[in-house]
Amino acid sequence: MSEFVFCTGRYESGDWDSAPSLPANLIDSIARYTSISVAPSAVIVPLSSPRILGYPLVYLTGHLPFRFSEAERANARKLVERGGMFFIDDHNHDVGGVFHKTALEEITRTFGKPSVLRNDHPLYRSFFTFPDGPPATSHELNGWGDNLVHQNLLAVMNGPRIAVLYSNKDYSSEWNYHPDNKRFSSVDNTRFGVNIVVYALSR
Amino acid sequence: MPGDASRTVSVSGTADLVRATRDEPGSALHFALGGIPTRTERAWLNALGSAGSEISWSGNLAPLAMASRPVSSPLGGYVISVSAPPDKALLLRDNISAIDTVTAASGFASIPVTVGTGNVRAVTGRDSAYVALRDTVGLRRVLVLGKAGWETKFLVTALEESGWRVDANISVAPSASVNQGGAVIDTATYSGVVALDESAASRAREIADFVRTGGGLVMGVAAARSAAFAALRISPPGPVPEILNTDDSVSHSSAAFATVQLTPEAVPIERRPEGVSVAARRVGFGRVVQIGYTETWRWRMQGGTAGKSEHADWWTQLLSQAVYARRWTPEQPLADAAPYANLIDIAGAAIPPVRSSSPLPAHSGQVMWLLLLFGLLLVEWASRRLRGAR
Repeated sequence: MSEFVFCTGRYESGDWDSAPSLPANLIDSIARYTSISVAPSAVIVPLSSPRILGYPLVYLTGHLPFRFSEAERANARKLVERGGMFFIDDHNHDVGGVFHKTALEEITRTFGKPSVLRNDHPLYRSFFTFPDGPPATSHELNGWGDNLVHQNLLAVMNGPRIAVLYSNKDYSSEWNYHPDNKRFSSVDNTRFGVNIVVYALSR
Repeated sequence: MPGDASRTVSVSGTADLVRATRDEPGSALHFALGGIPTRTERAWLNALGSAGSEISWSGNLAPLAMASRPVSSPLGGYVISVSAPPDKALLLRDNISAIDTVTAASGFASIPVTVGTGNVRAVTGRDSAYVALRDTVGLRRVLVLGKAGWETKFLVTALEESGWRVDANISVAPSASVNQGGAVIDTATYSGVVALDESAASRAREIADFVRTGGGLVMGVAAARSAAFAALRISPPGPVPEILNTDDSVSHSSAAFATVQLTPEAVPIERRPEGVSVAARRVGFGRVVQIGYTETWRWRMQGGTAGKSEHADWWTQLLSQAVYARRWTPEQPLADAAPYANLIDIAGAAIPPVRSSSPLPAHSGQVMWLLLLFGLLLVEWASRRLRGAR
């Protein structure tokens, strides 16, 4: 049985590497809470490379304009058509920001228009239970970015399964810290990240 | 065995049989056949034999026999098996159109038929056999047991895309799993179980009972390594060759696998130059298929444009060979599956052609009477002439 390898997708536009500590933090959480066989190191794979198809869960983030090249778009479509999943997070936490606007355009162009993901979706119960939907981030609660607490995530579905999960909640900032620092938190805020990985691996 | 006294009848239709029955009731008859008689003609021969005629036959007929069985898959379809002389080309056709042309190179051919209507007939020259496509199978659900990972996820996805009704129990942590359906493992609920790894070990006893009562089990490499499945596996799997570069394109034909060591009761299902990659054995009334692949999901994701369907088809074909499926035959199907064998059953094996010792033409009795009548008329005419009467 092969290990799960956390993959950050590198795209040509924008700052794809704006949350460099997030992969290690989520890998730590997966190893800490689950029995999933997970590789200790994450990988960064160009979205334009066919290698990306070997990583059926791809994490994308950034602050800057988000636009796929033709090769990136073609590979992204293949990955989704074959059953893979993207998790795209707006690192700006700003619905008026450039990442959000361009990312929604690109998602719609590449995969179709995303819709609101209901807060009783199985994603919120795939490991930990989040009865109110996506957990709020400190950036939302502190009023940064667009000063909104977003109630829902957006998703493009592939049949009954999530193909593209889009977040405005800035989990990229929330989870972008060294895993050793979890001991200072009363509640591990990466638990929803575990749900995303478990959902991708089991649904 | 007919002697020289047998009358030889060339049969080119039922009318010849009718005539032979009418003209020579109860005598020894030898039939020179140009093709396998039809069901009706064979029934007539059978009746002749039952009525006391000693019958034999000769002719160079193609010993055709065929059978069909439904495939235990939600995709449906049939496998047509044909036994025929190796030098004969066979045309397979159903009630609507031709399906395929095949040659039974080794005397036997097996042809998958995705869609067929009515009967499938195998025709070569004047000989033919046919079977009905009426059997259907009652497939139940399939249960997938495995740890959370790409192999388990994409197996469930592929089976669902192929039409299987899938329950899944996916282990996420020692005390947590993602469940999709799930019930007691028995043949009333499931047709097959796929145990991918050691996470299924806790249900090994239940699975063993399921297999012994007729269920099908597909066992992955990690499950076959588990001691809990020692009684069901074919052999402990060999090592899986290390995949040096998983970034390249990966397809079924290039995939690494752990060799399955065959035991006397096992049969290879898939053989590669490096060894057997899939094998099966019977356990009780059920079947166990042991696979050597660990990362079939890569065929789907990294296998090119056909990879997705190749992955799904491979699993569907594999499962269909293992699963328990009840066969339904709504009514006795109309078939003439082995006409040659039926002919031998009725009239014995062919003998060399015999020459009749009384090669009378057809209707010889009528001709005799006409000749006699003509002779009498000639005598009467001559008598009148001799007596001078006018």
